[in-house]
Amino acid sequence: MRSFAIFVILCSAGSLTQLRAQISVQGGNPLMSVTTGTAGAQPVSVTNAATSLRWRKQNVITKITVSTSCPGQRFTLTVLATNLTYGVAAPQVTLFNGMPATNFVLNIPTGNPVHKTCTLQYTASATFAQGNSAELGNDVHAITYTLVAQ
Amino acid sequence: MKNHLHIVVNRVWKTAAMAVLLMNGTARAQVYGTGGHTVTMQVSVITSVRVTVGSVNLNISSANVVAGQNQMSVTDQSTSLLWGTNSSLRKVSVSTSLAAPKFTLKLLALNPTVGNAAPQVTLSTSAQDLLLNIGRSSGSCTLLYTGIALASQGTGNDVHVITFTVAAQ
Amino acid sequence: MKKSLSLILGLSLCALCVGTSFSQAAATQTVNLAVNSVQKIAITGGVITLTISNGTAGNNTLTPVSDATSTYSITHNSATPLRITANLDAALAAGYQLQIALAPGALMGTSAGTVDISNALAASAVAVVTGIPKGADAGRTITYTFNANASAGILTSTAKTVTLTLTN
Repeated sequence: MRSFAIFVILCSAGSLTQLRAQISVQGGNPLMSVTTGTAGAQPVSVTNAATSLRWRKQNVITKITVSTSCPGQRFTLTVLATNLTYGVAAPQVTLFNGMPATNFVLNIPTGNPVHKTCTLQYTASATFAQGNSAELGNDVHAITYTLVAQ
Repeated sequence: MKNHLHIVVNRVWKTAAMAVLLMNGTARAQVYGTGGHTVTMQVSVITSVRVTVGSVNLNISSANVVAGQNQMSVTDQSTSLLWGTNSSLRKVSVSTSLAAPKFTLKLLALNPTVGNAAPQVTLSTSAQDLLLNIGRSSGSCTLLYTGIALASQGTGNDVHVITFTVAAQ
Repeated sequence: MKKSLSLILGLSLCALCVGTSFSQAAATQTVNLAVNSVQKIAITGGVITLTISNGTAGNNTLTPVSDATSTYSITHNSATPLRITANLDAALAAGYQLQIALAPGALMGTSAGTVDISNALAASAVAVVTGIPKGADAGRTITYTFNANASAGILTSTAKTVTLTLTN
């Protein structure tokens, strides 16, 4: 029984490793800071395009979806796929806690190159009414990109 | 009776099987991999306040005066105050740079879009409340200045530099 | 130990970033309040009717009539004391006389007493109150007195405009 359990765990680990190898985020974990605002308007949004998405070609047409987990989210974060050479970028996606997996890149073809990429363009914005991090804390998004058959 | 029960069980089984097939076909697309990272979003304390026009001229002349009244006054509401703050419990206070004005200058926040106007203040070098309860908002109000002079004070000119400050309430 | 110190320093800097405002929390506006020279005078009372209809046998001078129902008010802020002058739009005929007297408030000028303005026109207005300091004086009585000689005959009703001027 113990041997069986170990076998199952190893299988699962192997499967996860394989899944992760098919798609990954490059460039680390960005920190985005909204720091300025104009009287009579709203705080100025900031954009970050320092990270990218890299994935392997598949034998079928695929797409990439995005979702996030951000308990207690207070501010607004959106993401858009840019510098995309294979597939079609979906419209800008607004990331909110508990959202369903939402289309991010569509119609990814089966052909070469083996690895395809796009830039992750994040835009962080907030209104004056939404408050600030000193009083409310930061929004920490655990964002997941999933490569699936379309 | 036994035959009838067999038919019912058979139909239930077929329906369940079809449901499983449908679920496999629609809800479970082939997943090839997942990847992700963490994005942290931080919003600094942001406070901004400005006036629409940097200078206001209030002139008391015969046109503003009723014969027989010593007190003469003039008003101006041509400018507005705009603010934005993402902090809670904030107010706008106001003060003047002129320590010893010859005449009286009063100010009232008219029709604030957010918060509550304090009663009309007579401007002095000490900060006084102009607007209350403007926490976490973006708004504006009209600045209603009233200049007051007594005829017995004679003629003259006061130059005020008015400072509006967003402060903790 | 060195590593721990660096971490603490890093966290402190991060906390400063969150707590520090990068925005403007104050705005200024210049307000110029100017008080120019002000000279205002007003009269209340409207049209006043003065009718002589009596006399004393043996006297050429008929019994005068007076009216004290109208008032004047002034406001001025000139450093130099001002005065009030009075004049008519047209002189009265010989044998008729219109007098005026203004009663200023305390310390608000000196009355010239009862002054004949029968022949005072704009160019020859006569002072009725002098030495009026800056300030205001409201609702002060104007008294008109109309005199006539029997020898002047009957005067059909005629309108005369009295002008009071606050001046240097």
